[in-house]
This record gives sequence, C-alpha cells and structure tokens, in this order.
Amino acid sequence: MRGKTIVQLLNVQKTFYPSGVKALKGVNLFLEAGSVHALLGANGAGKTTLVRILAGEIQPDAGEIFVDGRAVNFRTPKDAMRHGIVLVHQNLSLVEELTVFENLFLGREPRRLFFLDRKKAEQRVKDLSERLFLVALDRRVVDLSMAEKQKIEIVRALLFGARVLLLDEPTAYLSESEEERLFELLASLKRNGCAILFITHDLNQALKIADRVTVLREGETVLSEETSHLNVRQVIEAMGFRSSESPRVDVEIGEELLKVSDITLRSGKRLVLDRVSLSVRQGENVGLFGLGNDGQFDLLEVLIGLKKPVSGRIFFQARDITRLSIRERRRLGIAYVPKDRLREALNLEGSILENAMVNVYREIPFAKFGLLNWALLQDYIHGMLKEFQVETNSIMQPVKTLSGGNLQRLILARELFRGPKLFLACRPTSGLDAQVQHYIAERLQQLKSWGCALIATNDAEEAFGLCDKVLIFSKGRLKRTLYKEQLTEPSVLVSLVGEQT
Amino acid sequence: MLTQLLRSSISSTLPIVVAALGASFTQRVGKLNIAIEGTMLVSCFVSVYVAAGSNSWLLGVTAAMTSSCLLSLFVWLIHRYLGANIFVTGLGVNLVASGLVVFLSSTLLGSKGTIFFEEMPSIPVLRLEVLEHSEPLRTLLFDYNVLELIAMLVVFVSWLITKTPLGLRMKAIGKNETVARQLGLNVDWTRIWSFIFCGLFCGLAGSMLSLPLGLFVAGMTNNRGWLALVAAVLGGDNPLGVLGVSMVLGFSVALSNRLQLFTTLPAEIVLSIPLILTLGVVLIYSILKTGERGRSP
Amino acid sequence: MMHRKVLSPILTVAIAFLLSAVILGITSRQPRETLRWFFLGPFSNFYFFGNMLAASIPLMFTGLAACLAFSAGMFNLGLEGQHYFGAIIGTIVALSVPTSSVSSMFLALAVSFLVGALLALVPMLLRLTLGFSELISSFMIGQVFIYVGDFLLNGLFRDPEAALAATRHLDETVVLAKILPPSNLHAGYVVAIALCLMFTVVRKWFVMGYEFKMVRENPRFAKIHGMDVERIWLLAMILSGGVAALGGMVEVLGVYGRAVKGFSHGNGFNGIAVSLLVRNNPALIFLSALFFAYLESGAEIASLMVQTPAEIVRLVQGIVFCLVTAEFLFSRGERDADSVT
Ligand SMILES: Nc1ncnc2c1ncn2[C@@H]1O[C@H](COP(=O)(O)OP(=O)(O)OP(=O)(O)O)[C@@H](O)[C@H]1O
Ligand SMILES: [Mg+2]
Repeated sequence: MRGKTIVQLLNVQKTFYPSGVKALKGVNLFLEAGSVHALLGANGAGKTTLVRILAGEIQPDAGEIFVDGRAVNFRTPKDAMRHGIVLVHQNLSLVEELTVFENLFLGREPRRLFFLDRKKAEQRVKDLSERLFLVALDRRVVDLSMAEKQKIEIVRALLFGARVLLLDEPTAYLSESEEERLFELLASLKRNGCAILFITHDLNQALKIADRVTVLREGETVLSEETSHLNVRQVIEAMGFRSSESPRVDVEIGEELLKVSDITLRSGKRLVLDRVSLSVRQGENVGLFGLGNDGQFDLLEVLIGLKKPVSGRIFFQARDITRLSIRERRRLGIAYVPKDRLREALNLEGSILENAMVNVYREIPFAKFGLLNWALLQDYIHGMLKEFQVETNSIMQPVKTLSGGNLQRLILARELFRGPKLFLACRPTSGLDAQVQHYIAERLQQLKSWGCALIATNDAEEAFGLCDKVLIFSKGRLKRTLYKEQLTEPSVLVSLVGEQT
Repeated sequence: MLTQLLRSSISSTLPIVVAALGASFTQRVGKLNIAIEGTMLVSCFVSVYVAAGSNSWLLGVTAAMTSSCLLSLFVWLIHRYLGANIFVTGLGVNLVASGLVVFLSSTLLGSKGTIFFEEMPSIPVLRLEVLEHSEPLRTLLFDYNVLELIAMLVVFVSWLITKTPLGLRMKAIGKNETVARQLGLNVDWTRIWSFIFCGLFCGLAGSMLSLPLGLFVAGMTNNRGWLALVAAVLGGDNPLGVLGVSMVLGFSVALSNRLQLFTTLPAEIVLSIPLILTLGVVLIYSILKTGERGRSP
Repeated sequence: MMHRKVLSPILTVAIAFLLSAVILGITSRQPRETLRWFFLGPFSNFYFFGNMLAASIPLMFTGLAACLAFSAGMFNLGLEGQHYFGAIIGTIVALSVPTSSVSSMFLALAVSFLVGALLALVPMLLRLTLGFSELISSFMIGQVFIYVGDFLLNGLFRDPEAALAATRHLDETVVLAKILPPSNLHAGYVVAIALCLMFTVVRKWFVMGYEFKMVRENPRFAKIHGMDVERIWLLAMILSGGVAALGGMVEVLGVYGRAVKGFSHGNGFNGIAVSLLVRNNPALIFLSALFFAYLESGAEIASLMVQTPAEIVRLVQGIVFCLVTAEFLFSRGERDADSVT
C-alpha cells in the first residue's frame, strides 16, 4: 500500500528575526504516498514552523525541499497548493460568516457566464460529502462544531486536489469521538494514496495512528522511525522528557467555595444552559465534560461574569456574586483561562510583559495612586515566567514571537501563579507537551490545599487526568456526576455520555 | 402634493443610494471608503464643467466618473502601498476636494460662489405616451431622466454582483482577510475592483446632483456623501438593505427641501435637518435591530 | 526599525512643503516673492513669529484631543464641532453671567469642556448601546452643531453693532495674558504644552495608560481581564471632546476676545492630522502643531503680501492629511514574521 516518496526535506533551517530564535537547525523528513506520519516534539521544538515552511507560508533560510524528486521553492501557499500540499491550521482557516458551500468553493467557484454554477459545484462535492458525512451545505460555519469545521477544511483541501495534507495539532480541540471520526477519515484518505503529516502532543495516539514518527527537539530531527519499531518510552526519551506517572494528591475536603443554583443562559432563542446547579468545595478539582460545546464553556463564562444568565444565582464563599463585575470577581480570587487563546487570552499586539501583568498591575505594590512601578512589575513577571518555564529572550518582545505552547504556559502562569481560590479554565492543557502537562497537573493538585478548580473540557483524557470528580454535560444540561472511584479510565466518560444522549 | 413629495424623494434617493452602494462595495471588502462626500463634490464640478464645455451630458458624466474613480483609487493606493490609515486618507480627500473645487472654480470660472452654466445640454427624459389624463401619476411612474434610469440600473446591477463569484470573494475578504489570502484569493485586485465600483458610482451620484440643475456651488453635496455612508453602514452587506435605508434618507432630504421652500427657517437649520433626521434613522434602525437580536458586546 | 518611524513623518512634511511650493509657484503671478513670503514670512519678524506660535495653540489642543481618542482605539471625527460649539456656548455663558473676571474665565473654560465632552459622549453612547460606528455619528453630530453654532452667532447672540457674525466682546479682564505683544501669542501656549506633557506621563507611567493601550489593542482581552472597557472608551471620548472644546475656548479667550463665526476654520480636523503625524505621541504634538501652523501662517502671509488664493492652504493640508499616516519605505518582506502558531 505504501507508495513512493512525495515530499522530502533536507537540512531545512529557519531563524526568526529580530529575535534571532533558531526555530529549525536542520530538519530532515520524508513523506510517502499512502502513509500517515506523526510529528512530535516539545513546545517550541519547531513543529509549526516546519509545516508552515512546507506549505509555503514562510521561507526557509537554508536546506532543500523536493517534491516528486524535483527541488522546489515555495514563495506562497499557492505554490505549495499547486503541488498538492495543503496545511490545515490549528486555528482553522474558514470564513466563519459564510456557508459551508461558500467556504468549500471560495476562490475556485465553478461558473456559468458570470454567475456561480451551483449545480456543477454540488456535483463535485457530492461523492466526497457522502463519503465523509458532510453537514448540510447551506449552514453557516459559525454554527458548526470544531470537528465539523475541521472536516470542511479537509474536504476543501481534497477538492483543491491535495495529495499531501499537513495537520497542525488537529486533535487539540476535538472530543474523543470526534477524534475517532477524524482518524477514520485520515485512514480512508490514506487508502486513496494521500500522504498525511500530523502534529500532536499525544504519544499514544501518534503511535496508534501513524505509520511513521518523527521527533523534533530544539529544531533538529532526533528520531525518525517506523512506528512498528518503536515504543512510547523511546519516543519520550527522544523528546527529552522523563517519563512519570500523573500525580494525584488527596487532601482534606474543606468548606464550600462555589455554589451555583439554577443557572439558565440563552443565546438568542437557543437555550445554552438549562437550570444548572452545582457546588464545589475546597480541595476539589471538578471537571465539566461534554462531547462538544455542550454548555460547559459557557458556564465558566457565566461564572467569571462575561455572560449574564437569564436566571439563577452564583455564590462564592457564601457571598452572592451574581451581580459583581469581572474585576470584582477576580479580586475575590477567581481566575479564568478563556477558550480562545489568541483572541481572548492574549493581546497579540502587546509585549510579553504587558500580557503577563494584566492580573496584577492594578494592585499595591505594583500600582500606587495610579502610578505603575515598572521595575517591580518586571521583577515579578520574570520570577513568574521562570517558575512556569516560559522560554523568553526578553519580556519586552512582542508576545506573538512565542510558540503555541509557550503562549499557553504564559497564560496559565498568569492565572495560577498567585494561587487563586477558584480556578476556572477551558481546556487548560491542550497544546502543551507532556512535560508541561504534567507540571500543570501538579500545580492543580497543589491548588487543592487552599482552593478548587473547575475545568471545562471536551477531552476525556484531560478531564480524567486533572479532576477528582467530573460533571457530564449534554446540550446545556447537567446529566450526571462521576466520582473519583468511578474514574478508572478516560473511555468511561465517553461511553457514559453516549448512554445519556 | 403627495405625489410631488414622493417623486422628489425618489429623485433625492437615487444619488444617495448610488453613492451608498459604491461605499458598500468598499465596506464589503473591509475597507470602508469615507471619501464619498469629497468624491461626489469633485464629480459635481467636473460633470457640469465638462458638459457645458463639450455640450454633451454624456461626456460630462463620463469625465465625472473618471475623475472620481481616480480619487477613489488614490485613497486605495495610499492606503495599500504607503500603509496610511484609510479613514484618515479618506478624510484628507474630503478636505482636498473642498479646497480643490473652490480653487478650480475661482481659477477656471472666476467665481467662488454659485455658478450658473448658461448653455447646458439637456438631459434626455424618457417620455412614455401613457397615462396622459393623470399628470401626477405619470410623473411619479415615468418621466425619469436618463441619469435616474441609469441609477436604477446600477441598483439592480449591484444586487446582481453580490450573487457572482466576485461578490462572494469580496465578502470573504471583508470578513477574514487572512483566510482569503491563504486560499489564494487575489485580495488586492478584488479590493481595487470594489474601489473602482465605488468611484464609478460616486461619479454618477455627483453628476446627478449638478447636471440636471446646470449649476455648481461649493457646498452643493450638502453632506449627502455622509448620508450615503450611513446608508452603506446600516444596510450592511445587502444592497436591498442599502436601498431601504437610502429611501428613508432620500425622503428626509426631500422633506427638508420642502421645508426650505415653504417656511422661513434660517439656512443653518435647514442645512442640518437631513443630518438630524439621519441620526434619527440611525437611532430607530439600531434600536429595532438590537431589540430583535439581543445585545452583543 | 527606529529610523523608519522617524523618517516617514519627515518625508510627509517634506512632501507637503514641496507641494505647497509647486502649487504656489504655479498659481502665483510673482512666484519668487510668493515663495519667499511663504517660507520665510513667519520668521521675518516677532509679530509674524508670535502669530505662528499662537496659531499652533488650538492645534495642540485638538491634536491632543484626537490623540486621547486614538489612545483608546476610538475615532473622534466630531472634533471640529466640539471645538467650535463648545467655545461658543462657553463664551455665551461667560457673557451672560455677571461675575468677577477670573471666575468667569474659569466658568467659560469649564462650560466649554462640558459641552465638548457631551458632544463626544453621544456618539460613544450610540456605539455602546446600539453598535453604530462612532466614526460617522461623531462627524454628523459635530456637523449639526457647527450649523447650530452658526445659527446662534447669526441670530440670538449676535452683537448688533458688529459687522460680522460674532458675539459681544468679553470683558478685557477675562482674556488670557499675551506673551509676545503685539502678536497673538498668549498664555494658552503654556497650558497646551502642560496638558500634552501630562498625558505623556499618564500614558507611560500610569495604570490608565496601560489600560488605554490594552483596550485599544484588544478590547475583548481587556474585558476578560477585568478592565471596564466601556468606561475607558467613554472616558477617552469625554476627555477628547472636552479638550477639543477647551482649545476653542482658549482660542476665543486668547485671540479673539469673542466668538466669531467660523473662527475654528478646520482646527478640529487638522487636530487629527497633528496627532497622527507624530504617531499619536503626545510629547511631540507641539512639533507637528507648529508645522501645521507654519504652513497656515506662511500661506496667510503670502496671500497678504502677494495676491494668492487662500484655498491653497486647504489643499496642502488635505494632502498632508492623505499622507500623514503613510509609512514610506515600507517593506513587504517583513510580513511573514507576524503570524502566530
Ligand atoms: N513568527 C515568529 N517570530 C519569532 N519567533 C518565532 C516565530 N514563530 C515561532 N518562533 C519561535 O520559534 C520556535 C519554534 O516555534 P514553533 O511554533 O515552531 O514551535 P512548536 O513546535 O509548534 O511548539 P508548540 O508545540 O508549542 O506549538 C519557538 O521558540 C518560537 O518562539
Ligand atoms: Mg505549534
């Protein structure tokens, strides 16, 4: 089944200016037709940089790329596309306001005279969409789930004639079942002779799905091997990690910190949350799990004060906070990590310092009489970033020069550093490498001795790894509570949700 | 009386809707051109000047469209290739235009005030020999001059354009430029097209203000460019929405013209009436819209 | 990097000078004389020089006003109306209240500030409650109040003895002290500089400056992290409108001694260009205001000494406007570094 080599990279190098970061120091890689290739590596290893180079988004400083044995030089994504190479971004590239149909054909509309030839277009997409169970073509993309959006991207790539698919952390925002479906899709593409390269932080997944694994470490290829010759331990070593068990500390359960009663939230006519009540005590890390967007993320937005519920009350340490502003809630010791990292959790225009100081700048001793003490702030932020191992050259650099994982660490550092009483987080460990995931898990365990956490996720693995108790959401309703004893493995969650719906 | 008011509101709607559609093209690609007022003003001048000089209304309109196309492209080029802020550049063009027309009319025609052109070519009016017995009804339904008919055609064509691949691309570029680029759309050219449309439409709109009257005066657009912008913003992506808002604004302009004729309000107040009514429209429209959808931050 | 930031404004300035010279040279019958008066006129004696500095005072105020709005990511196109109408109401109030000189001056300033703030507040409220672009509504509201101001000066509050549409003169004791008589330069200059410096310090060293920056760059981020975004926008607009109006009042108090129809002649709009020319850096606003004042005084002196049409300044200012935010020497190769994982 495995075919000939389509793409080959030789000693590819890339340095980013003005920071001078050497993202790639010499990477070798080849992709074969009809095979799945997993790209692994710690945060900041250069994975994203590599696929962006392959897709023509950025140019390498040195090294060669061969497609079908001929040297190529991509200047734009279009050049890469012409050779059938398409990158599916982690933050997907769909125009949310348009329909599925419009997104699929944008830029290559079949036409009759001056107008869109709808019939012809539908014919083209027909067998593809039947095979892939594509959702209705006329729905707007905003209303779709992450998995559906991803599928649209892949279908579009195929419509464009892609034979090499590059996927940057495709599973980072998918739920378990969505992941399954994605892998089925990839398998069928593979049978049709596509070459697939995907980036992931989940080693087991990589070994299960991929035919071949390549590990990057600090911009260099340190391992490239058929999966049949590999085991997890070898890969972990190659990545430079120590393998370790996920910690779980038992602490005395304390007073009730958060009590939510009968929260109902609407968005337009849609009922997003339907009379949700729950209670969290100090010493508990509670997961809010739903297969897709089942209201668990919206609940956190309600708790921090971003969304106003139609009815219901929120009590924090027995105090009614339903009407408090976001600032007042944060001051009480509530921390929040939003779902959209790039648009909500960060100010991409700002520097690392400006992003890191946002939770403390208002407080004494950093601000006195409205006057900022920059020197003190810098010291403080240095300490914070160091503790959370955020790799930076200078905190004055623009924040967008950090890699995806380092951005995520920065966000978590900012929210966790001061030991919040109530830690609200959406998908806190997605996009983090195993090492950092482990570290975050440890921090969350420590948190229990003075506070509690609410973790909204659609990743059973994450809920399982971080929480002592999981609340299962389905379509805006709280369906069921699972306790520690029942949490034997992640699949329990998935199968349970299946039963409920 | 009522039919007269209706007829005159149609006449005042047409230039507004044409300019608004031009602006809405630039809005659709995410680069709202706020130089409409100035562009229209320049076209007002160019169209009468050329028409009077060449004794051809068609040449006048063509010249107006060309000049306003150039101005519109100027805004785009300065923004795109010199990285200037598009609103600021647009404002600059408005300022240049108001200086330019006075400068031109004083150097070319020797007057800074109202200039009447004696020998203006008349604009053909399409007269149908129907409804002879009911004069008011006929003026309302027929009796439109060629410019007005073209304007109606323009409304229809703009609507058609939204249905074409070009329209789809414009929308996609406006909503998410990065994605459009990643998909290999020619973002720059699509935007240039929309600025060309904007220029052509504003040129037509400007001619419609000055040609039928055969005169020019520096304040003759009287903020109608800004009204058109409001119509474009409120109407959003939908040309029919733009048409709807323009009709309301056209009605308010017609009404304020009536007031000027039949009452003795001071000039300053009359000038501000369309603006005030427009603000009222904005208010009502937005209240209706937000009431329907619920507020969003 | 750095030198490009400095070079672009300098190039804009150079182009503006070149264009004015070309246009003046072409249209004037005595190009040599005209150009000489245009370029050197403002420096030929203390009177002209003082007048040039004086002309930069209202521009500093409106420049700072524009800068305040931009700093929070807002666009205030109603500066002209706020500048003009605020001053008119301030003057009228000061004229109608019989109080001592100093307090009626402060009264006038306070009233104008309030009126300007109010005019800027309305578009902001429209945006916050109804989502309508403040860019367009602030312009339209400003425009309406220019008409209303004209109406007041022409009718109700017109000094019957004056030849032009203007209010009565304020009392001799109410006006601001002159610095370089007989020129128009007055104490307002110091006030303007002080305000600009104050805002410079606030931007760099104060909580408010940081909040303005975050709100400007990503309002959603700011909101999620507990900043009161709407309040910051309102504050920025209120300050912007207030400072613009203050500028008008200072102009009336320092130069005219009464509100005269059309006294603002574009100061409000030019404020936007003044601020943008120095990339919204309040510490440098005095420089770009001076540049605009220089263009204006040069043209004025030229048209006084040699007959040239005064509209030319409008043209040149418009062209400066078009180029003021331009980044000359702007390379496209740098784009590829600015996207993220
Ligand atoms: N546009 C850029 N400008 C400057 N430095 C950059 C840029 N993009 C990436 N880098 C740096 O290059 C290195 C590799 O980044 P890259 O995004 O490829 O990592 P990654 O392997 O995808 O990590 P993650 O798993 O965290 O997403 C990092 O140190 C990052 O800070
Ligand atoms: Mg990455």
